[in-house]
Amino acid sequence: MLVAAGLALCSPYFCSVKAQNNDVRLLDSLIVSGSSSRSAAESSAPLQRLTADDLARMGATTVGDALKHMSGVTVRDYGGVGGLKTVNIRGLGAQHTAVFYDGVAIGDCQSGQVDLGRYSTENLAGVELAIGQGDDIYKSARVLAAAGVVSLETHGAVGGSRSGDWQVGVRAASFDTYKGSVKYSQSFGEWWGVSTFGEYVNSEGDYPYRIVNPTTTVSGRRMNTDVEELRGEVNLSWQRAERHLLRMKVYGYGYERGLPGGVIVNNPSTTDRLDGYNLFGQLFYEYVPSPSLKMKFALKHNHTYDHLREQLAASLSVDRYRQRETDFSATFMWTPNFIEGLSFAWSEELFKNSLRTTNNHVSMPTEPERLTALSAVSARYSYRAFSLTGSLLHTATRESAPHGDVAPDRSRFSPSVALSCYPFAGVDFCLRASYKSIFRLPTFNDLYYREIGNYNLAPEKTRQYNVGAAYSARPFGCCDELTLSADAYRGEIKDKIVAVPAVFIWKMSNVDYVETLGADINAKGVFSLPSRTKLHLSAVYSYMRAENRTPGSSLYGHQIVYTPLHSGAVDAALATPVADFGYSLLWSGKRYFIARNIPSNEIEAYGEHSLWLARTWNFKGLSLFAKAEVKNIADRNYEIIRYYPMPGRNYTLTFKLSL
Amino acid sequence: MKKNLFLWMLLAFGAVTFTACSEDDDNGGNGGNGNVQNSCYVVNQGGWGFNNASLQVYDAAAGTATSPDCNEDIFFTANGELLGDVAQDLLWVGDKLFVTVTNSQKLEILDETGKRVRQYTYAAEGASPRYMATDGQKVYVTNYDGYVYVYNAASGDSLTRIYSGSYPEGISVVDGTLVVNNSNYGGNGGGEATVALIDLASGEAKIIKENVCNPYTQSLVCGGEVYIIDSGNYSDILPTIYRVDTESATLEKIVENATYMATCGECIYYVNATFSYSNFLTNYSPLCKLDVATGEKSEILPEEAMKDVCSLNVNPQTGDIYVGFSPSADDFGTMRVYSADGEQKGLFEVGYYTSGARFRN
Repeated sequence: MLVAAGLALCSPYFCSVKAQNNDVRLLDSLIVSGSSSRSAAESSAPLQRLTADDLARMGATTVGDALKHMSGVTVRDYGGVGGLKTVNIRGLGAQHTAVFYDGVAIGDCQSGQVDLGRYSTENLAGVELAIGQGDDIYKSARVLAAAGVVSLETHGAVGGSRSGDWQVGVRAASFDTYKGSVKYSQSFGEWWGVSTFGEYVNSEGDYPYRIVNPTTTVSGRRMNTDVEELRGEVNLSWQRAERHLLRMKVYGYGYERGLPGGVIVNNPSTTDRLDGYNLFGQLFYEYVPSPSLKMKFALKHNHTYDHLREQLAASLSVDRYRQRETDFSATFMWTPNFIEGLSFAWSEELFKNSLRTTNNHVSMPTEPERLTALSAVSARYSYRAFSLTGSLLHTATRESAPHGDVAPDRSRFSPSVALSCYPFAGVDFCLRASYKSIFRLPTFNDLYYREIGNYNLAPEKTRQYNVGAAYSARPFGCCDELTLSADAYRGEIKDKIVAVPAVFIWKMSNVDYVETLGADINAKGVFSLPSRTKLHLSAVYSYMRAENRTPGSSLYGHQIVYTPLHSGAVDAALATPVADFGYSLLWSGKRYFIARNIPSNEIEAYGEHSLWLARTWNFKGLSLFAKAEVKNIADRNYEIIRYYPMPGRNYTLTFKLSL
Repeated sequence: MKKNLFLWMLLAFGAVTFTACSEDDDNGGNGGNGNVQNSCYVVNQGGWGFNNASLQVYDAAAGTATSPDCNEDIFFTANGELLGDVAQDLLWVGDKLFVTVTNSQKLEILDETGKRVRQYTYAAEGASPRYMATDGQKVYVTNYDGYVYVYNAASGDSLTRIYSGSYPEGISVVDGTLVVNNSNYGGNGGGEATVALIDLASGEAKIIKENVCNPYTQSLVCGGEVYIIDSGNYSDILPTIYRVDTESATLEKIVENATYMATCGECIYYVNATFSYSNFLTNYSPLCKLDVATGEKSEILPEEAMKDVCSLNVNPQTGDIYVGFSPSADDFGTMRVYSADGEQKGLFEVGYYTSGARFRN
């Protein structure tokens, strides 16, 4: 009770919440801090990480591609360079996944899902996926508020030489796809560092496809697939001793692309276009006044603009969406000296989202705004081989809009707890269990989309239970590294928000109840072989039964859409003194694109095999890296999203020059 | 793209019963599917973007229906290919079936087994066929490009096209006049929502604007007069049945709070299903019958029986009432067959988002 009262006091803004109104949609941003380089065996919750080397080996050009190599996730990939890619963790839905870019949340309050196809891996130092409640309590409240977190870490402004480091990259790929990038980093004096990154992408993307139905084939060439993207960022850091760290970032992204849409029988034409930009700036400061106390603060402002031109039969519909977000967070961690192993953390976060939508034919006056306050208190106690972590998060929202009805304000507590144990002294073997209760607010589309939105929607609640084990070691001589983990989980989604037919229009409603039961297995190893050769192996496997358990539903017991029962990935790389060779397999069992589990709603299982060859030449301070890849070498026609075919066999050549 | 999807879902699901089932239009006869009085076709839209529209045949005497699955329906069985994306309407004229497949932007002309006789595609023009009416000699097809396309009912030959207005939807033909609901794409069309009265002989048009908000998919003939439903604005302007006075070019309000209607003889059957912000649920009314000659109203079925209703048709030969239900976006629907006095006579499974049953004209 005291804790609850304290949390409420921490967010006075919302505790008395009652409605006013408001609405909107928007982007978010936020700050997370701290390194995420811990091994899987050091976390009380499933944690997977891909390093820059991993990303380079597997040839993942976007974050969406990279996440396909992790367990427990399904990436909805609409195909092609410009295709939408969203990530769904353990069947909870893409809206339950928070995505952070150098500690900055990049969500989208309009749709609630982030297009991970927009984020290049070129400038990333790593990608991390954390599921459920972990034992790192020095996190911003917004991290605690998500069922799963994808963290993208760039190289930032740290690590450049005094004279400056350059890296220039070019890539040419099938279907007239070209990419160029430039990175520069430099250190100044003892404390300052700066880095810049820019990337340009141009692709026609008009690949051929063939979709096989039970007895017929629909084939053709994708149309209106061209994409042009330009992204860039500037980072500045200042670090003094171990006590002060200041980071600043300015990021910009602009794009113009066609929207090919799904393949429609007898109707290949599509002319819809989308363009827009995303700009944000953030300021991060961390201060460590003493070994027992540390704190961090973050401020961010984000602006996103999307411009959709939709050619209708007899008119042109033009939509413009403007999202803004301002976010501030403060996080404190205290490790008292008087009780060994005990730590406390407190995080406050306040952010405001707004959405403005216009259409050339229809008045869309609702301009919703949402003010959200998150307050979290966490504690962790470690005693000998055991570590117990608990958190309580309070979420309060206030919605408003100048016109129309708005959703009620919300106030809710969300607990989570995690326990880990290292039963064998000196062995990096961990047993873990965790529970997390969290919810997601309806998006602005859910609440306010013209005629379809339902401003009375309740939040979608989830409960996650996880038990597992992780092991990390060098068990024998030639094995440089071995990490194994296995987790079993159960998830519950209550009041799932879905679109329901409501006479001529659809209406967003809380109806479904979904239960998930699954297991994730990860294995990763690095082995030294004769002749200075190393073998990198990794494999992931996921089992996920996610069923509709809505009482009385005709679909009770049916697997939810786009969720394979079995899926996995294998990556192997052989690094020799001469060159590096690699093989990659992405595999997914059958899925359903409509919830009724009948054969005509199935999407076939697929396996995508890829090979690559790379070599690096070093001379006089220069380093030239070259890589050739053949993806989907079997030229397999497959779909991840029904009627959005993926490319067949395709080729990529990459060159990077570093100096 | 998300917005686009939402809008299409909205429009695609707008398929309601459109059938010229009044005796005025019926040209009778037996077709290849047995006893006409006991057979009908069912047209299922399918989900937008899923290419899973389907056609079924229901034999009322036997109480059996063919498969609603797009890979097993009569079109696929007869032609070896999918019907396409969003089958909006079916018109049974003589021994032919005219089927509009909106998102595939085509008109299929089939024989009574579902075998293709002719196909017209409009993808090059970016046009999407919607609803149909016939006077027995010609078939009139509304198209989102603003025109009504005219075909010879017997040969299927394309004859001409007539401009109607912004995004035409439901259509009727009576006494040489086309009555067309110009929907203006639910307000998104950049034009104006009107009801057009087009004299087929002279080509002259009268435009009704007064009381017109959202004339949508339903336009039927009853007792020699045309009735339409204006769907309102899904908020404070209620869905309403109007009688169209073709002489004065005016609308006369007949029944307020009605989202689906069907006609048979001198009677209009109607039901209301409207999302209510008072309880945030879709509320249903009883299925009622209005005798337009006497003005007498009677209840046929209680509101409990109308939950998830999505189509309403009446067999003009037997007077049997066909009510389609779509409780879920992710599952097949059902269709119940009632006698004229509300006794259930049949029940069968239909495809996704059924547009309803269609009977011979």
